[in-house]
Amino acid sequence: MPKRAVAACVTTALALVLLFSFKTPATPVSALGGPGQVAVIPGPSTNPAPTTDAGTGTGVSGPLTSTPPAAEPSHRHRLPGVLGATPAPPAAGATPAPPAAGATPAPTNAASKGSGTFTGAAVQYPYGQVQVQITLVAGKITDVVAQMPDQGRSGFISQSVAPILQSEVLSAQSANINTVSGATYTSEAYAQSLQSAIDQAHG
Amino acid sequence: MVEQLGALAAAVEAPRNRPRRIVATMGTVIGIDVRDRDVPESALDDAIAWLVDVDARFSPYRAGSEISRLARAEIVAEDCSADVRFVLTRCEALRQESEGFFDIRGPGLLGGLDPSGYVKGWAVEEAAFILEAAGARNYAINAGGDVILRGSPEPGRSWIVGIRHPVEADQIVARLSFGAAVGRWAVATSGLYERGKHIVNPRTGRSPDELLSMTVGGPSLAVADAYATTAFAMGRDGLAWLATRPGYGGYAIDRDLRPSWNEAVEPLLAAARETLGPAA
Repeated sequence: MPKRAVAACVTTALALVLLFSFKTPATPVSALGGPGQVAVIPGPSTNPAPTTDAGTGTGVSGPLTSTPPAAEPSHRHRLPGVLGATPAPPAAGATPAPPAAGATPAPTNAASKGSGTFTGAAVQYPYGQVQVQITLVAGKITDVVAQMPDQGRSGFISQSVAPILQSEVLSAQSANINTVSGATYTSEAYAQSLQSAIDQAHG
Repeated sequence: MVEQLGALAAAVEAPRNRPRRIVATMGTVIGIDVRDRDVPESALDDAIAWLVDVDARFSPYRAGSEISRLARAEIVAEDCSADVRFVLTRCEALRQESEGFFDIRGPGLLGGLDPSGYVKGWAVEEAAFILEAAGARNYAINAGGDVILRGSPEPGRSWIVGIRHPVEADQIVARLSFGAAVGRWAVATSGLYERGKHIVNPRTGRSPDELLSMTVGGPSLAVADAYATTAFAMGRDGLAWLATRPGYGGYAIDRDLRPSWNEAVEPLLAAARETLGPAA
């Protein structure tokens, strides 16, 4: 862990140096007269020189707004206890909900007792099969790796595919960032395999 | 601005005394983080039960779901539940608003009908209302990288949302700071690295390839999610289109890893720089 931390710091420093060396002064690039901020994100595959014709500046835009305090945009507001056909929610309290029977993914607390690596069931889906492996340290999920076919290539690849778990790691490591937005690989098969890995960890 | 997030294998010490959950449902992983100490655990149970219920009724992967039955023409829209009819109506409105870029029907979609691009954001937004009904005013929900948040993580601080690097999964490229919001904020991202969701440009019939990712912020997660899909499919024109949507703005990363963003997003980036420094 200390070695990793050192490596992470060195990588960060390098990335920062790279970033600042590539950053171009803000140049108006938009026909609409927008701010046209242009920079290049250091990346592993491409690292092009900054160009001035890049970027999509936009000018006409109001401020970002959050929902007004009084607004209830919901077409109807579901109150606890009126969930229709849903099985009754578990009783209040700190007890983790037990896994529900059947194929329905069950609510699961991340908290558990064990440490170790747990491999979920291999679940078939249209592009092959997906199998998820989770690592727990002191009851917390610290890593999720999915094996799934890489579309366009043959064979399987392993990749970490759970930004929410990155968020967990982040919020613990950095007081600065609370959560992460990103596009995710999502699939029913992925969720099913992950759930079975979580169930094993709890069992 | 690039931050190395460190090894995922690092042990995570969960903050104590506040409700938080992780659940795998709706084909992804959803984390609920409530910072109000007086919100009962049962509210999180209810929110999760709601999400699981929506998955059962809307998933095109479940043969018995209303959506699957609708796709097979076993039922018609008029037979569907109020929730399904509401979602179908909203999706049609978004299709028209986006000039066809957001479309839940098509030969490339599962069963020819897949409203998942709207349903996830809508369902998570409804889950937030369940939390709020139980008194939650300071919380964040992350549904597979789509985020809804309100209030602040702790007194005197703002929620900070990182935007994921489109290639390196453990790095972020930018940070958005949401000052203690009186209402809700939403952040959604669509990307080329998002497999399993087939985004098509209706003008070309091809997968859009000008951008690697498009992040959209605004008041509603359901709308932000649909706008992110739309603006991503539009490619370089996406930000200009977003600028015409009141209350929303975007942060795009093109295929050469160059970021650009709407003016509307600048205050959020600036606030993060001001709070955290230029490259914290």
